[in-house]
Amino acid sequence: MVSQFLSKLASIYPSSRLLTHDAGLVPYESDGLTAFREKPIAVVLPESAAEVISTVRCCFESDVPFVARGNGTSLSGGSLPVKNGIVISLNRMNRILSLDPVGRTAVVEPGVINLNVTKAAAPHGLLYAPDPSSQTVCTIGGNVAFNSGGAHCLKYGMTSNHVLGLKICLPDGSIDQLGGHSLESIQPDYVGMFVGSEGLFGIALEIILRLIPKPEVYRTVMCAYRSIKAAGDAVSQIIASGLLPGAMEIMDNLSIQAAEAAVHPGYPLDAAGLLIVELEGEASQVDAEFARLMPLIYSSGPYLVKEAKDAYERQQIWKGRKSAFSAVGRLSPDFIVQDGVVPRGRLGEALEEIHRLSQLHGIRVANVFHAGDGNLHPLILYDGKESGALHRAELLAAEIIELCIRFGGSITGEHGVGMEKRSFLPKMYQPNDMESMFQIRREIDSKNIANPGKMLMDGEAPALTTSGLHPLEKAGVISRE
Amino acid sequence: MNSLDELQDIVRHSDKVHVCGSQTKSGFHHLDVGVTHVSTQSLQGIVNYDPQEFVMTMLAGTRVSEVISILGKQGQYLPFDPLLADRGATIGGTVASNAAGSGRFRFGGIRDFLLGVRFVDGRGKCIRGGGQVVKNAAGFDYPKLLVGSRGKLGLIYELTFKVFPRPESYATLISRFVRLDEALNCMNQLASSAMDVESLDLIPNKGKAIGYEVAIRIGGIATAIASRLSRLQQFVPVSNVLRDQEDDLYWRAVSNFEWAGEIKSLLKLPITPNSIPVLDPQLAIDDIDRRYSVGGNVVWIAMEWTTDWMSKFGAAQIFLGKTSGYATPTEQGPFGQAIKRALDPQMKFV
Repeated sequence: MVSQFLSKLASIYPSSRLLTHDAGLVPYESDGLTAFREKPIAVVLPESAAEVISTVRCCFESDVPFVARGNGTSLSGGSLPVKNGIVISLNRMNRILSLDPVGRTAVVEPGVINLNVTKAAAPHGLLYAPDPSSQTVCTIGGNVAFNSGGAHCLKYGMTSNHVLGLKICLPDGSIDQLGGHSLESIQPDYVGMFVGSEGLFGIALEIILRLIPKPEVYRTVMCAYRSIKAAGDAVSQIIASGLLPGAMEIMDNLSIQAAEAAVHPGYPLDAAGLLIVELEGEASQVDAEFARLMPLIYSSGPYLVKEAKDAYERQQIWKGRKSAFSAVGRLSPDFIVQDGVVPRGRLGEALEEIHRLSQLHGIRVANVFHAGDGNLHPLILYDGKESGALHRAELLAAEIIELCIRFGGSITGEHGVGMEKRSFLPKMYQPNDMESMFQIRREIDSKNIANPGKMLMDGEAPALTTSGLHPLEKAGVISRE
Repeated sequence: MNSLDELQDIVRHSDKVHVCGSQTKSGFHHLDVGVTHVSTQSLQGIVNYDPQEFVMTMLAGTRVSEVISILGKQGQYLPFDPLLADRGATIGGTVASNAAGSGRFRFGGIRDFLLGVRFVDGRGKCIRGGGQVVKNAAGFDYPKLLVGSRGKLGLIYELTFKVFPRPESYATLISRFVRLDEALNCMNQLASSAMDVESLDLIPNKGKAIGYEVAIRIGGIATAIASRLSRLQQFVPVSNVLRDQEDDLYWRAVSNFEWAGEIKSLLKLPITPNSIPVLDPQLAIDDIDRRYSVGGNVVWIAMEWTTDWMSKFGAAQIFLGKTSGYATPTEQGPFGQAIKRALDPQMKFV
């Protein structure tokens, strides 16, 4: 059966782009969530939409599950191979098909790396807004599947707010065109429904992205506090004042130490909480906002305030923030990163509770978060070689997720449900809501072959691996946000 | 009918259901025999609003004007600029018809601000999708799906929005041009520039008055508006500057389609700025009233609609008028069909 299926694949792909031997398959066993591993029966490397479609049709005919994957940076195990299934690796479909500076859109293939869209748009004074920490390596196809976020969601939203149209291949191999090039639509927002569906609705073959003008100026301020609560309170006051910064980020001492050791951004090592606030936009408006921001910051009691004086200093501040997760790898051999969300007004309370849980379990937790969105990122540190350590870390992680639900928030702000949080989805939603999701899933994928087992729990969980960073992470290429 | 239970019962026991709010958008309504008409008008009220959180939850029949007024008291607003608020539009109808106005140019449309939804599906079950916080990637994105769903996928019961601080001051520049290409050039350059513009519309003059207007609205901190205006004036020929109440009245009139008159049909066409040089001459020949909005991403056309126009337009929705539905046939692809089957297996919602 398997050999029949593989020979079908061999009729689509030359042997160089059909991997079936162990050595070729190993790099695809895992993604950014390294605790899970599963070996696929094959990996295919399509170079065109036609090849993807043929592959999906082949899977549909043979009842073989598939997972589409970009560079495997998913932090929720979203691109983990499915048992007895194949991986459709889309890295080679990395062309920017067109870029329209007047209409401010770009049409890209799914394997295009996030940052390359902004690079292509930059000569026209435009940029692609979503900026996950892994933006130098993660692909647009993966961003679409998981509705990725980033530090600048506060003002401009997540991936789904920047995707206007999609050409998709459904799990039965049929093709559909959703949305278009216009910002507006007269259809139900199918594009919005597809984005963030974690591969359960099929594969995006072409993606129409919205580009926005590059802000005229940025003003980025870094503020150090003696307590993390003071940093959190400053965020509440800034939001309440009616200012709308492009980004507001907080790091705790453990994260500051790690980032400073890794990339030397010039962070104050003795700060209990570091707040980064960035205003962006038209110069005179930003200057007026800055004049309102600074008194708020000074009255929040920082012991150090530093404004980035130029593009280099701004870059340094962000470099530290964006490297924080991989940097934490220096503090601990292993860690779990989460991305639950709480209402912004309850951030301080949530942090205190996480601190309490950390003490109670005797497990170190580093915190880095998109404070403006209430999007937490606790990094739960453990040593996988220590017996039972992963299990204990997972228990603490579960308590933090449940805290987010209890506070009226979400189990995931931007990493998606994937493998990692699928058992918590039914805790966030009611049985009716879950059943509806399964009904939609069944109508779209009657054979349950498109990334089964992710988000909706209907598959077997593969074995856990207790330690080790992702190879790309070890190389410092990817990071966990 | 006031309660969720009652609404669920109606859906369960009806063969066909047509949902409406306060019927301000006549192009979405039809009266057919054998169809149960359900109005959500009595579902009134703010369910939850914490100004510090910038999130508001309300029942579907709540008037948009009420929402705007409550938010306004806290210096907040719905940045997608809901249409027809002064005519009594409900928030549920606004979502179902995707009725965002010119002001959606700056920060995005309804899809970009709707966080959560509770709705009754075709089985009569109440489904909750999305959440109550500004960032959420858990589960399928029902809130977005229901934007523009025209009551065909479910009966919207309750909605949760992200809201923004309202710019404390606005000003509008009206710039006049003789030729379309000049006006388009002005609009496109502004749209791609680093100048932050709230609304950007292009309006062909009517009748004997030749030429085109570009309306540019800026908003923000009051003390910065003057310098931003004078900077804008260096870029574009200015005919008129509207401040304060004048500015407000101008955009309210636009939001209520006062320019479109009463008897004609009003069509909404999603377009791109690149399509305007081809589309506009066709409309200009017959001196049809039209307004290009959202930086050239939508054109609103007020005309005596006849099917002869079908071949000239792409997809178009009749928004206001005596007839309803799509002005041009739109085929549902396999993705949309599958979702309809899942949410409304008996095809009750019409």
